[in-house]
Amino acid sequence: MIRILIVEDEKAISDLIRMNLFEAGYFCDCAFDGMTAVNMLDENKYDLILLDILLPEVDGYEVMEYVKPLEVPVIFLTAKASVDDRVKGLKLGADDYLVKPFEIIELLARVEAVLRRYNLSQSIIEIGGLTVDTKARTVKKENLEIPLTKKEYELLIFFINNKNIALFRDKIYEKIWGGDYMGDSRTVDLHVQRLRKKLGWEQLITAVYKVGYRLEINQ
Amino acid sequence: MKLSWKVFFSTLIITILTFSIGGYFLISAVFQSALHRESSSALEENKMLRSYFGAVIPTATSEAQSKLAMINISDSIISHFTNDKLSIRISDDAQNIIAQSDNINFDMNLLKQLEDNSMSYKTIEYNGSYYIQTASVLQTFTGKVYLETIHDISSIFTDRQNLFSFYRKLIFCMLVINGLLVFFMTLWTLSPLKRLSNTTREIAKGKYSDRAAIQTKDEIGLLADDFNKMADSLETKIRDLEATTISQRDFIGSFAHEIKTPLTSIIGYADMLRSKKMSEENRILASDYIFNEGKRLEALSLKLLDLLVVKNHKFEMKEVNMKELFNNIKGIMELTLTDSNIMLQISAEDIQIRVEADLMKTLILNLVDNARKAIKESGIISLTGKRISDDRFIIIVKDNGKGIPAEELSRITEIFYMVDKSRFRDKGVGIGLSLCKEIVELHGGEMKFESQIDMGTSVYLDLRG
Repeated sequence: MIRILIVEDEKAISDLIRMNLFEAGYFCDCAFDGMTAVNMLDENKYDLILLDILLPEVDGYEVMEYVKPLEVPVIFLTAKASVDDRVKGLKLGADDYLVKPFEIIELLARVEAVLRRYNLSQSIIEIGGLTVDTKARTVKKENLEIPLTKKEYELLIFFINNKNIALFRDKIYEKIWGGDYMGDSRTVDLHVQRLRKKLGWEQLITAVYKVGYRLEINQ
Repeated sequence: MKLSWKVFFSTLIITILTFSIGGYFLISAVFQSALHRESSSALEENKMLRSYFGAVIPTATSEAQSKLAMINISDSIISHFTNDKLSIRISDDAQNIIAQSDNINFDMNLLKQLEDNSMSYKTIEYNGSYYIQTASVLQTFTGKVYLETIHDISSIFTDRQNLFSFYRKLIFCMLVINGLLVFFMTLWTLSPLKRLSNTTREIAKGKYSDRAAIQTKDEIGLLADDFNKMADSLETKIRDLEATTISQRDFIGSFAHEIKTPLTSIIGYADMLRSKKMSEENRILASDYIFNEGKRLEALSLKLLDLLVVKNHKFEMKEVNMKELFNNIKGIMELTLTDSNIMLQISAEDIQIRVEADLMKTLILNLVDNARKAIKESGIISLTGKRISDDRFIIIVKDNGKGIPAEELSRITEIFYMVDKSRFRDKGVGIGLSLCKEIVELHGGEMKFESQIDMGTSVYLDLRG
């Protein structure tokens, strides 16, 4: 199981991240200041660190200096949105930057992206009776391959990465097709219908009233 | 054109012009007086000749005889008196020449203008030489005899010419000497101006602390003095503005951070609530976080509003009884303090103070509340007030709490600055002491902190009113 260390002094935000990452299937530890974080890094091995910059006593940049030789990927969490701050963080060796306030799907997407870059995410995903191979980009059901178009495949991965989260039509549109969602487009609905039918997931992908769709998987 | 060149050229031009004109008139005057001298001596000579002629002329002879005698006399006079400077011509009644020195061209017109018993003279130019011609009439028995002399006065003209050419050379020399002198003089007088302009340029480039080092007592020195004074006040203004800009930028930075932290929780938990199926327990936890962080934003906005009001409003000071004010505060704080096992001791003189009552209450409440937060389990807060002079009084808030580290003391009144950086705190927003400072300044006073770790903190307010 992938193990993530959350270093964040604000308990509300720390809890928020922990709850969401836990539900997405990650194991999380929380540190509320720099010193504790360093101690925990000594004791355990982590696959990813979410690091707040403004911490009491030892700040995020200093923790970063300590993390560097360990070669553990780091995502900075910060309220500072200026380009200079981003560049400073990335130069120090951060893999990504998450600016507060952030949305849950953005958090999950960035965590997933960084883990994939380090080949730490599972390449074979078993979910709802399907076997998805993210390296070969194949989807199998009972050992039979289901042919999916490029968009349908991307849509499926988007649902899997955000399981149990309601995905809004505009978010889906932006993620899969890019560009701005014009509001009345039926594209998203059509593709979701076809995906449901091909996968036999009529019960699993549920429509959320007036909003969008949600992949419901009971853990 | 530079001022130094303007001064240089105009001084030169004026010098040359005045000297030229003056020199011209001087030489002309010298020339005129020489000419006058020459002409009067020529007239004298003529007069002398006439007397001599009159003396030697024979009387009452025949006309032919007298004519011959006239010629003889004339010839002898001419041969006797003529020299290389003087020529003589003698004419008869009909203005026919009787005798003449040599071939000098006499002007015939002079005789025609001549009246009886008079003399006349004029200067004439002939072959590049100058002469003075005089004429006079002599009445003899046989009729009028005209006596004319011509005097060579070329030397006067040559002298004038020489004087002019010498003076031109003189002027040229003066021009060179004068030019050098004026050049260095203008350089010397205008050098402070140049330094002043260099300083101005340095200041324009951003070296606001540069000053013109000019010690002269003249107008330029005064200008430099005024300029330096202006630069002083400008520098102060600019430094103030820079400080304000920096503090505003810091404020905006901190403010953005203070706002974003609760917003992150609010947005995150709200996002979870709207998009996830959550357990009842997590749903309550999420809502609780949203509520509390929302409250934190509210507190932040209220405190900021207080600060804005104190900064930008004019307040009216009114007489308030200090003892009543303290009792009022005790009433407000009593419940909270009893809950935290803290005793509040009040000692106030029964005096009237001129303050803004609500702000004074806010000030003391903030300080007492800070004292409360500094006390871990149980303790004592003392609130003392007394008058120290006709228009000043002091208030001391003292606690026996955990104290403030010495290196933090100077920063505690900065907005959003918090000594306790841990976020598991009694949610403050870091504005309280900034507000207190503003209120104290509004009352024309000072706020001082004394603190020892684990011994407690004392706040001294020295106020006017």
